[in-house]
Amino acid sequence: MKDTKRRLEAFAFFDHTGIQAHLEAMAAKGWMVEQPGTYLWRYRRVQPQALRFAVTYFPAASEFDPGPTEGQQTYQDYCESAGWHLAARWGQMQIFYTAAQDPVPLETDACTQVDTVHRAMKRSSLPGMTAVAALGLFQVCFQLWRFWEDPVDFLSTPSSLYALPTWLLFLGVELYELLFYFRWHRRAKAMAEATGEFLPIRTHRRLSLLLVVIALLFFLSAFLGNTRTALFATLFWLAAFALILLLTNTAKSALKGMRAPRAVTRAVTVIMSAMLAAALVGGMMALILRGVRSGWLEDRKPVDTYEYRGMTWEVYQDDIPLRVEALTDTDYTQWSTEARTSETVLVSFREYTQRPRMDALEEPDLEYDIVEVKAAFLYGICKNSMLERYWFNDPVEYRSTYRPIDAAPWGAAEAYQLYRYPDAPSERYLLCWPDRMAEIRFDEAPTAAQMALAGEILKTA
Amino acid sequence: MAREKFQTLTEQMFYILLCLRQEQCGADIMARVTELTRGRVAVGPGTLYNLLESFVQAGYIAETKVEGRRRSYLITQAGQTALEEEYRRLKTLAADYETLTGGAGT
Repeated sequence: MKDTKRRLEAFAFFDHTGIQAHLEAMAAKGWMVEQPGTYLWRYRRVQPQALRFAVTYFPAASEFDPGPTEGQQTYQDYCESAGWHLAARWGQMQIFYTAAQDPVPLETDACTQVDTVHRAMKRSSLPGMTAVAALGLFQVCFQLWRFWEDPVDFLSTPSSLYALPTWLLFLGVELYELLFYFRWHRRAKAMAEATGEFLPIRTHRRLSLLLVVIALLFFLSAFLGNTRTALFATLFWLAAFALILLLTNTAKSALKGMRAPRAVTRAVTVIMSAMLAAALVGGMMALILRGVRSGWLEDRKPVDTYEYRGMTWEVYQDDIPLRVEALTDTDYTQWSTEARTSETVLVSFREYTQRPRMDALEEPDLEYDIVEVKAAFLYGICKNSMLERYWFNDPVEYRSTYRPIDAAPWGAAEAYQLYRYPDAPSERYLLCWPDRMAEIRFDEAPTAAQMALAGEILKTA
Repeated sequence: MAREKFQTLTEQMFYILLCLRQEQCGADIMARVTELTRGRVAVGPGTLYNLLESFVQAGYIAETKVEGRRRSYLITQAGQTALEEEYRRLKTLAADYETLTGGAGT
């Protein structure tokens, strides 16, 4: 039977009422808190007993201290003389317990208690919570900007689409805790001054846990079904983050064990984190470059390569729904066909190309994209995005524009042809059906038969 | 510190300053307050520590002796003035009450 266990806890730092109630329930089951943490708390087995816990804060303490400060020891002495014993310390948090039935509470002056909690929060959690909220806000704005720039790409790329709700949830949790805290502080201060009573804090621990779990599910969705490069990058970041935490925590513990001063431990930890982060970013870039060069990170493997004018060209044989051979008579056989798919629950975006080898560029080539909109309410946004696809890179007066043409020859609901500035029709067409659209480029103006065939295949491909 | 930095003293503040008119070790103050108030007011160890720190910073009390981790304190002139002001305030409250009720009990 194990004598220690670790549990995932999701308490807000300032939720001492919730923490106290939880620790009392744990002690009744025979588990005494040994080491609190951000999420993982360690407990040791004890005799099940009815204990009262008190969570207090010591604003002057720091997680970089080599041990309890003289002030903390004095505080502990006062507690001992009142029958309260130290259970654990974590940064500014101190947890005491007593077996007495009716002990003098650790805090008996509500004004002082509110003030102490607030001073501890200002030095510990509030800066971190504000920074996470700012990062969350930046990420949400960045993702919204990406959506605005290219809705089809955003909606069809898992790492983009699922990043938005992930960051929204993180932002929501942080903002909720910040607002909850400031609301509590304002009310607690007023109540303490008016009545001398302390307003207990109670955060919604289960709600916070639920939001974190949902955010993690979105996070997992972001890389499941994504490209191998994105999957590799995500896993690498997770491993790198865990490694940085492990190494810096080990270094911090070692320095504290050597009784290094707070400033030294803090400086070494910060510098080490920054250097490791920089090294890992560099390492990841190098690995990705090597992986791309070696082809290990490619989702599709080339079936062949050939040399042409000193360069190596890859040949693919992906399945594509519409082929040059179906549209035109040709005896050429050495095609390279590529299919790339990017898909989420809302939109799928498929790109197809069929090209001859570089030594046969007189042969026709074909390229087309299919956008399938699975959520009807996004159809208009996606269609506008496809219609404006060629606007963004050129000045307004040089923009290529899609103009409506007769859709009947294509068997489509709507059809558009791209006109290059100032008034030159190109052989690029956008075809629309109720749940999808396809953009196709020909080498030459398509015949009626080619239009009908292309429309028929792209409509259901 | 709540209550606008000792503009008025809470009961805990009042009794700690009152106890420190004689030199006292921090840990002994808790028992002394309970004894002085016959158990009506109890000062918790967390509150005691934080208030002693605040009083030292405000110059209301001064550290007089350090024996290991045992520290003794004594009220200063500034602390004495604050204590007397609070006493006068409480007397004013009591006098107002007596004026309005004729000193009748509850």
